[in-house]
Amino acid sequence: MNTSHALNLMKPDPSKSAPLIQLKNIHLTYQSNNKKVEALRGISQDIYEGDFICVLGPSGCGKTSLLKILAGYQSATQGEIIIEGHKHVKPNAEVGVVFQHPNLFPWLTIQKNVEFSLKMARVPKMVRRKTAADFLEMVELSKFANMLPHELSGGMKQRAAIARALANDPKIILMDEPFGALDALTRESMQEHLRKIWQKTNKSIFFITHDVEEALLLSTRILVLNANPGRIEENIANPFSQSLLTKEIRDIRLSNDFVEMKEFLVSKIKGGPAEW
Amino acid sequence: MKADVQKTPKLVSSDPTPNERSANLKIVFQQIFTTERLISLGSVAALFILWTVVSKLQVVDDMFLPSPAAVWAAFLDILQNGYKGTSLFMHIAESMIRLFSAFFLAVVTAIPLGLISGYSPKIRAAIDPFIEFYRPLPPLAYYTLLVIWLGIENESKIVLLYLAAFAPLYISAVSGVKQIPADRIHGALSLGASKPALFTQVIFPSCLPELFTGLRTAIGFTYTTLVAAEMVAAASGIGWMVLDASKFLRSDIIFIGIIIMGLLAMLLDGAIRYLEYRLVPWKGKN
Repeated sequence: MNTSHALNLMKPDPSKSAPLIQLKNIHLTYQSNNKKVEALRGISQDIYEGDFICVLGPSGCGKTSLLKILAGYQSATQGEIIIEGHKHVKPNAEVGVVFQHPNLFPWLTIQKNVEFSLKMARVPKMVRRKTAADFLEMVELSKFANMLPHELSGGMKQRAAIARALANDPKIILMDEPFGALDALTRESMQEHLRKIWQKTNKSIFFITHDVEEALLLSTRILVLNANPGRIEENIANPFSQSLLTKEIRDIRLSNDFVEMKEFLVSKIKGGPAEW
Repeated sequence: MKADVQKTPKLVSSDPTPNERSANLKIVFQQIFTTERLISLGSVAALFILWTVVSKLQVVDDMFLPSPAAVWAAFLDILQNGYKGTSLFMHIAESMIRLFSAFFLAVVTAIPLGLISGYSPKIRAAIDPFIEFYRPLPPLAYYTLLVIWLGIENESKIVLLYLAAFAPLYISAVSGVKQIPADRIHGALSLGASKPALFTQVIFPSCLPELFTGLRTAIGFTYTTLVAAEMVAAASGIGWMVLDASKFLRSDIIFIGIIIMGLLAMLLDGAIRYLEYRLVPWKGKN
């Protein structure tokens, strides 16, 4: 365990540093069948460097819309996204995205996929290769660098997608239920991978999930979003974020505190009848 | 995590013993001559036998159905002496030059235009009416006009074939762009892709599977049009050769001409399929 990472987690302290990213009073309304739908109401949140924020909520609570607004794929009806002081309106290399499905370019090898953003930034070939190789090693895919995406399993593809987002060195990485499509065993190993990667890189991560346990096992802060209108129901620092770095995951998961916290969060999530 | 890679087994290991080598040869043989391929070969052979028997028994007149031997003799004859003063090779080459010049022009214009149209509904709106109008027309309908404008030589034929190839290529490019998932474009933008890079490095390769389908349709249609055009107005080419032979009731030449046409078409299609296999290995696997 690296002590500097442990120190990095002693945040956030707004008085010390300015937030990296600010969500300022985000509203989103749209028309659907002549009905006005309020998808998001008044979402505000400061994100600091190294934060791992999990947005927890039932489907239809607007969490994916929120991610799209953050990425710049969609504009908010009201409110703005500020990244290091300037407004973020269009998708660009500052905000990385990992989608629910791996979304790799099927014609490029895993290595070339990871190099893509560097190529876009006109990074020299040798540097590109080295950087991509480093990140592939981080996600334990070095051996598969020269394969095409369709030759890999779902979990490996998603790890390659994470490496691709990391290689770009964005200010923040948005993840939209990235492990949702994976089987339970793979999902657990992916969570562990992601936890290690996050500790190593100290990247800010904005992670969407509907899995309470996943949120508790990954995040530093949990936002519970509820639907109609999409709003922040709870905003709590994850009490386990410290022990996740030092203790066995299994022990944490079996502790009374964890079970209680899980029940508390589940009780806060009000799903529509369709999803639960 | 380790066992989940799909790998094709390697055929040849290093330093095979003679025994292993013959076993390897056997595997290669089995891969080339699958049951299905043997059945195909068998059915072709059956037709040849039927043809031989029917012509031997003199069921129909030689003029309607020449014997395989007569067709073979005609083939050797035009191979050695040419047909009407032009060698067989030149007839085929004439046809292929028309086909490939038109096809090349169509590929370099229809595909970029189709990609742009697929991306921009406004540009599509400007171009679509013309495509929609001329696409269902039989090419020979406007070939007459092209001959009046450009003469009987290659120009009119190349323009005709160009038009024949253009529509399927353009349409496949448009539909290829429309089928790109929004997330792929979003993902590329979030990795810092500029507009030009988006086109050349994301949109174009994304469309390759569709484009190859378009290429195959286009080459088939162009080839049909080529033969028809050569039969309407030409003085050389494989299509012309068959039409000319019919005037002299040379059914042996007609037969060998049609067989050559068929084999050429299979060769062209096979070449495109091979290219597709090499360039789009991910097709149908996402």
